[in-house]
Amino acid sequence: MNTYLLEIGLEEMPAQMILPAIEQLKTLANKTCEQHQLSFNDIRTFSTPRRLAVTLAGLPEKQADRIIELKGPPAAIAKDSENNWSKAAQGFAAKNGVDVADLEIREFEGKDYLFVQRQELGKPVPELLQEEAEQWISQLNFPKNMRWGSYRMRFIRPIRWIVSLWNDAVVPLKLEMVEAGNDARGHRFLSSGKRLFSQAADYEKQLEKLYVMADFKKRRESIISQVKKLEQKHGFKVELDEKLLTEVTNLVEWPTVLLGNFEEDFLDLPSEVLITSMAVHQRYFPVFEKTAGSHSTTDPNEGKSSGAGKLLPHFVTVRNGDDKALDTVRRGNAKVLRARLSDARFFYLDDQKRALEDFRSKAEKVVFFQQRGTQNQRVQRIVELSVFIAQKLELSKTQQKHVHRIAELSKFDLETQVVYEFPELQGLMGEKYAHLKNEANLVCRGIREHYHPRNSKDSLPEDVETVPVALADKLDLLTTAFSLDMIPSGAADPYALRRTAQGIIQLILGLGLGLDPEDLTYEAIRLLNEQQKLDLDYTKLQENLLDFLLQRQRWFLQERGIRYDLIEAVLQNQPGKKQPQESRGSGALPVEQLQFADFLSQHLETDIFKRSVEAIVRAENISKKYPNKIVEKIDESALKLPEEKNFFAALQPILDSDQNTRWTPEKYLKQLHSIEPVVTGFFDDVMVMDDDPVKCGNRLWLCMQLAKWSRQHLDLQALVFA
Amino acid sequence: MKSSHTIQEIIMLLNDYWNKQGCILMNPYDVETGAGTMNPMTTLRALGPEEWNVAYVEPSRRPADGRYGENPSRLYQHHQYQVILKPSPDNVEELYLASLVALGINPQEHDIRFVEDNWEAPTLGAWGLGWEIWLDGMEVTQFTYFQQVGGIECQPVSAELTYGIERIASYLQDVEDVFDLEYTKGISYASIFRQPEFEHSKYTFEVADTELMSRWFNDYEQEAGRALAEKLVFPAYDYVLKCSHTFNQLDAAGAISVSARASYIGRVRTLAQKIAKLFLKERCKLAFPLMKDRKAAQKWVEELTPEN
Repeated sequence: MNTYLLEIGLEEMPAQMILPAIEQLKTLANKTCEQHQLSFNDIRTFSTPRRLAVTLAGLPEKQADRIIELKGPPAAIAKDSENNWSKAAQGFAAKNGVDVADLEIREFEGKDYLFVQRQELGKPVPELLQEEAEQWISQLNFPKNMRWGSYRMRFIRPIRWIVSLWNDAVVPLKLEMVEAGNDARGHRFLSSGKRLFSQAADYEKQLEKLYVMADFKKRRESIISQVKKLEQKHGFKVELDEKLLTEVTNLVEWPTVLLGNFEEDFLDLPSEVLITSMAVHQRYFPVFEKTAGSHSTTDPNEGKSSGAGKLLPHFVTVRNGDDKALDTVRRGNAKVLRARLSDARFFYLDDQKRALEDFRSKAEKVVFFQQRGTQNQRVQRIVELSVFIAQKLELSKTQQKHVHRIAELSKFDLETQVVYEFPELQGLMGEKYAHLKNEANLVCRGIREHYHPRNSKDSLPEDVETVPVALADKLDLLTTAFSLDMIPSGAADPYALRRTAQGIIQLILGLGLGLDPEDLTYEAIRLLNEQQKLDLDYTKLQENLLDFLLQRQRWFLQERGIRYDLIEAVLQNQPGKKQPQESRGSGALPVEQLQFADFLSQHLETDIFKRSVEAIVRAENISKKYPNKIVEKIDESALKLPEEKNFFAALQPILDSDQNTRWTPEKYLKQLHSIEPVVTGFFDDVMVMDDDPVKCGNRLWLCMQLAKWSRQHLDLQALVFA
Repeated sequence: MKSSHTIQEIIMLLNDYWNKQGCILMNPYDVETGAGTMNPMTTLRALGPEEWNVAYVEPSRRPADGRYGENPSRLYQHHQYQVILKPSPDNVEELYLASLVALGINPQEHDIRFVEDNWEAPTLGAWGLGWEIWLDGMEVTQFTYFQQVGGIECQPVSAELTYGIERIASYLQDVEDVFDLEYTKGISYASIFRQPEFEHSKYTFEVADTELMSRWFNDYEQEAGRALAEKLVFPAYDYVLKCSHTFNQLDAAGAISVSARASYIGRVRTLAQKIAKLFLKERCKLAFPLMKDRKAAQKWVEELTPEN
């Protein structure tokens, strides 16, 4: 059994880029095997901060011989007038090393061509891999590459060695800076002396002897099991955040888990400050008291300390090495943490000495966006927009007062020292400090939660009073950025505007709010325009904003599993489609569109619904085709046939009932289904395009009214049935 | 802790080590700098094809970090030990690690990590990729491969090693407060630096005449431009350093709004980019005298000299 090994030795790669790189390497190796029809039993990948490797086991010695068929010039020019092979045919045969006698004529896509069959001898696999492996390296893609030394190559980090091994033999491979060999490099500090890989198949085993755990999963498991041992020994709970665990696993080649301590006094600090210092700045795992409900991995999107008990004055870190002098490492790490926490405590106490209003006056100097005012002016806009939304939501006077206060205090903590040092604690520190100044609980919570939802999985604000502020904050950011033409395109979205717009949609649809994006965007633009004395183009700006929000609404519906054509049917007549104003029919609110989509999802495939769609689409098509023939007003006396009379009679109550009430999907479907037999009957038995202009005009009027009514709800033309 | 070197010994050990590696030992620059990188021995010499291996101590001023000599780890002025290796040698990581051994830090008894940290200096139009190096969780060195300086691609690429001297010393001496460090036997860091730390902080935050400084900034900028017009690279660069330090002081004093900030940075960068270009041109005129391979130097000259 043959095994091939490629190991790319590098200087330490950024932790988060290792796993994507190894996936790419695997894909490239698989592609090679597929392209060259190489069979194998097993493909494995390995990675550490300093190496990316792949092994292919069970490869054949030699690629199988293959018959390949090549298409040549058209048969029409294959022979000359004397029925001799033409120059073109001879050339084709010569090029492929066959006699003209071996040429065949066969049809290809309706025309005759010359064909030749040629036997391709399989190459020895190592020879083939020699060319391919070099391609794997150059085809690896990284988000940010660098150059080093005097070399021209760009790569994630400098390449320092290559191992390319076919069983026990080096498969030569040469890059600009290094030639492949079979030197086995072990752990930087734990292994020494020159060693060689004896067998490609033994890669993992041999590295293990040199203090390198080359398999990411094994390293991860090793960390988890060492942590579990600590948990058992000390009876506490270590929070292994998945993202941090992955990062730490990618920072070490030989993990040794160790437990450190910090002074209990520091527990007076908000636990989030402690956890951020440990997890974000130092890549330590925080340690909690064990409670009945605690579980081993916590969803990073939820509160950090959910499910676990009180934070304990310990930390768990992973050393890249063995357990020699572990105490020195422990003390060193504790010292660093102590310095960080002392700093944080100083800031925390110092912040508390100031009144909340002080921070706001500091924000007067801080510019939010150029030409769009200071942070304080932004807060003023958020306050006004929040109150506007609160009124739209018909909140009580008392509730509005709370909304006002939350909005007013929504950003003061950005000027505190703790948030300056720990930007990820924005909102949370606001909540803490507001508590200390005896603000209402609801207001404190609102300061933290108005940032929600921060991503597609994040929770929505708990209190209804926070919702207007959450919307206003996001709307103002979006409007301000768009007013400066900072509209995300492609991957670039430095202010996370997509996520911001998504947050607005999540709030409206997730909470079922009857808010109209047209009202919201108009008010946001008006506030900005008037406050900053700008001369904004309302129409264009609003159109851009609505369009952007519509895209996120589409995303929301997709995520909900709504059928693609139904989404389009429901989102019809939106500004994004650039339809003329009067046909922006329904004025349906996003929340109503969602109800429609949800409800209709269950009825899409019923026969009666399909027939209804067919009938309405027919009515719409024909009335659109002859707009000039439709009568202004229906002439009831000219309705003679029972089918047209029935149609009119059935249509009348539907049009009337829809006049002044907001429609519901249930009602729409009921009406649609009730009128379907009448319309189908009408089309079956009545000739719409009668020679008599009155008859014809009447019938078209019926079709037009029906289509118009239905289109107010959704665009049935968008639906696609199998 | 096996070693408890004084700051002075640390500097001497590093000098000795990098001297043995063939570095030119230089002295701190005589114009205020925010970091060893700002010293023209780095900024300018990182440009162009000439080999350049140099090591020096750089007292680095960060007005915004001034804490009146009361904070155990923040200083108005700290000390960096700066090494530039151009082109970056293939064994540069090993060279660095051996320098830690020279300081008495045995890697087997510690946890040494290379944690991604990319560097950018917007005022210099410079960026690079690399790591912060952690010694038992403490960042002790910044390790950067320069990719661009003054908006110009670095070719070949330099490796920059910036040791935080106070950081390393507080680790080696097992001291929590930077002012408790021993500078040399019997002389504490506090006894030398507490007063200037206090005074510089007070000056920066309470006394500095920011209006005057704004004028200085304009004057320095103008003078840099004049020197540039006369093709005087180094004098022009000195005024850029003056601009940069004045900007840092204004910023620390809270005299620069966010929007103005971007424009100040842009002005310094524009100058830095012009100087970078001019430096290359002038070195080219001199046929890159530091290049040992004269044939290669000639090739560079031909490549960089625009055809008439």
